[in-house]
Amino acid sequence: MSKLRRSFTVVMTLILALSMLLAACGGGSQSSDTQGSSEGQNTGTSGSQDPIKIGVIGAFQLQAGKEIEDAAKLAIQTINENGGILGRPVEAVYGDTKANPEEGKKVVERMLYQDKVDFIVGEHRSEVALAVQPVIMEAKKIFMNTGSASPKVTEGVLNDYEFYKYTFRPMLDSNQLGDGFLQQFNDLVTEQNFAKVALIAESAVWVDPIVEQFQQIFGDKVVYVERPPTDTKDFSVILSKLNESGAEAAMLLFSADQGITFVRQWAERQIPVVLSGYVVQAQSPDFWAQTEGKTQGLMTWKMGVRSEVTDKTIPFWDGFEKAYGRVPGPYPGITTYDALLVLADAVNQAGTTESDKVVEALENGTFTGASGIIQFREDHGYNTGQGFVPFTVIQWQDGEMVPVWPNNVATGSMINPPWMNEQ
Amino acid sequence: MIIDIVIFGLIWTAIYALIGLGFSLIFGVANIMNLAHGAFFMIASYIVFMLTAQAHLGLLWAALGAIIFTIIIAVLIYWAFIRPMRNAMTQVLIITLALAMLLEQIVLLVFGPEPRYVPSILTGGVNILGVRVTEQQLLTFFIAIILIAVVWMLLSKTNIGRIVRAVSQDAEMASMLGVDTERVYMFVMALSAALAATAGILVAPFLTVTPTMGWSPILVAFTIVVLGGLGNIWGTLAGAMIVAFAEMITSYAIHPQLKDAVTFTILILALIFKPNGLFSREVK
Repeated sequence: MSKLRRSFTVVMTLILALSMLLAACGGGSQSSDTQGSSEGQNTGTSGSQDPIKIGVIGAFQLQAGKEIEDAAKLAIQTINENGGILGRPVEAVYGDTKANPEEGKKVVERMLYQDKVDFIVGEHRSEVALAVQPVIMEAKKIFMNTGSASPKVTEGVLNDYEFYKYTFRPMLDSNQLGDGFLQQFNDLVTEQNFAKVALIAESAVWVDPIVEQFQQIFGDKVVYVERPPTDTKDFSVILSKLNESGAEAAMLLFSADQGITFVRQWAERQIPVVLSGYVVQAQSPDFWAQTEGKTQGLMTWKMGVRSEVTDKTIPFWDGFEKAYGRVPGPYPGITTYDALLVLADAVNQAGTTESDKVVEALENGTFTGASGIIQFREDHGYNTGQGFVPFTVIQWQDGEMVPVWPNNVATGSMINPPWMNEQ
Repeated sequence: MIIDIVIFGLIWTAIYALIGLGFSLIFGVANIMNLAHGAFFMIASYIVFMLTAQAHLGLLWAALGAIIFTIIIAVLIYWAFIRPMRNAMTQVLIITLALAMLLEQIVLLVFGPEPRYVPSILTGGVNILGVRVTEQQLLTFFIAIILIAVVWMLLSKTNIGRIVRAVSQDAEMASMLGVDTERVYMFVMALSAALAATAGILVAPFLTVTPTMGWSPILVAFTIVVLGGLGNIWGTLAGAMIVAFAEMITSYAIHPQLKDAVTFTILILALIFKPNGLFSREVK
């Protein structure tokens, strides 16, 4: 056997052994530390009564998880400044689920049985939310899931109400997201009279139904569909194919780290295609700097915009900016903020922290959040659209995220990428 | 579209050759299969990010700082971990694999898991035969070609190159003739790290910088070395060209998802049918 072949065998054996070891440990580098941090957030209320404890969970090392943590701190500060809940101060217990279902279960078990939290709020990864949900339901505590889009999270409420009724999701599920993406893209195509469209959607399960619907809606107009893997590092060939297809607009669906690379290459190569859809990285205020301004003209769904959606929207936006020196980023921030405020209202209405009574208050109430008017449906997801929580699309314009869709929320008009104006 | 494939294929050939050359050199000269080679590529990208975005240094100074820092890390790793057991290939493999993971974890702790960005040296685009290419990609291509030519000149036309080749062919004899082989190994380790760092700095602006970005180049470098043979510059270029064009054609004609699969397939076929490289005169 040659030296290279022997080396290759050793390398592969090592990698296999390592993979098995990591799998046995519960996955990856984020599984070793199971401790979440506990920190009181008492401000402005009397400390003479026992605090109401709320567990806040999320993958805090990720951008979306950090947003949950920051928004929760702001919400709890706001609640405490307004007299707390039932006159009692609110204290948060933060648990880092590390985007790992097993880690998530350990975190919520500790919260429920050691820290004795009254409610649990947060989590943006569906697989983690689905793993922790039965543990929380078993303890008959309310779980406000503020980021995961899988319809499965709320299916249980319809199928086994008595067990799952403590789950609420003040956040759009993937069906609502798909409807929003398609509706906005359809408006764009109709208004601009585009004859050729394309779809570049990451290779992921959540995207599959949207791809199917896209092809049904746009039919003969679809000239190019690509499903690159989520870890695609270079888009040279894909952008060449997009250019060659003659598409005038393309819907992007990127929930991983593809955004920066794709947008930079799109702008530097001046591909004459209008881009809209969902680019998770483009929801972050840092995206302008990350792309060196090349994101000019890109449109993306963004939950929560600085617009007068409700009387709480602009105060939330400005309060967040004041607290953290940056504008709100990915969607789980505003949904977590809303979830905590809604929970506080519901407990105050119920007059008790007893879960069954709070469930009733949440089911029957209509609440005002920063993202819109919140009213829960039968499955404990919430209503979206006119009069509820709007599906909003922003466009990057000169370093700002300008709301451009729908019209009743828009604060600016859509513009073309700069090189398309020159043509 | 064929022109697109040719142009982007050539750009990635140059990048892969730069990555593969450093890996091939240290393996060919010192018999060290350095699995931390990709980590050098990753670290250089992060250092540039840190020096530009956080310390607000100019990009060229940041690039220089990143190369020097990566060389220092590589030399320290060689001196502290590899040198004591340089003759035990399996141990060196395990050590360098462990070091690659350690460096990844350190970067994860310091910078977090979120992707970072490195500014481009050039930010526009140019048309070549009707294909619009970013200036950064073009710059990367030319610098890679120049560096490969410089390394070829260094190894074939200079006294240092003759010494390196002598050590590569028979270290014991070279040592008996008065060559300090340890210094040669350290020099090659530094050169190899500098090539990896340069590749990282050039490529980072059009890729996403994450702590795990060093693993993919290792697979590519390994495949190139298997195809091109050890320490063979022309073989490295040919290996890089085969991998780059195979990836481009697969991405275009079949599916982008199969890009890595095609690299693995080439690697396996080469190991079975040409384990000493495409250009070897004999097969043991």
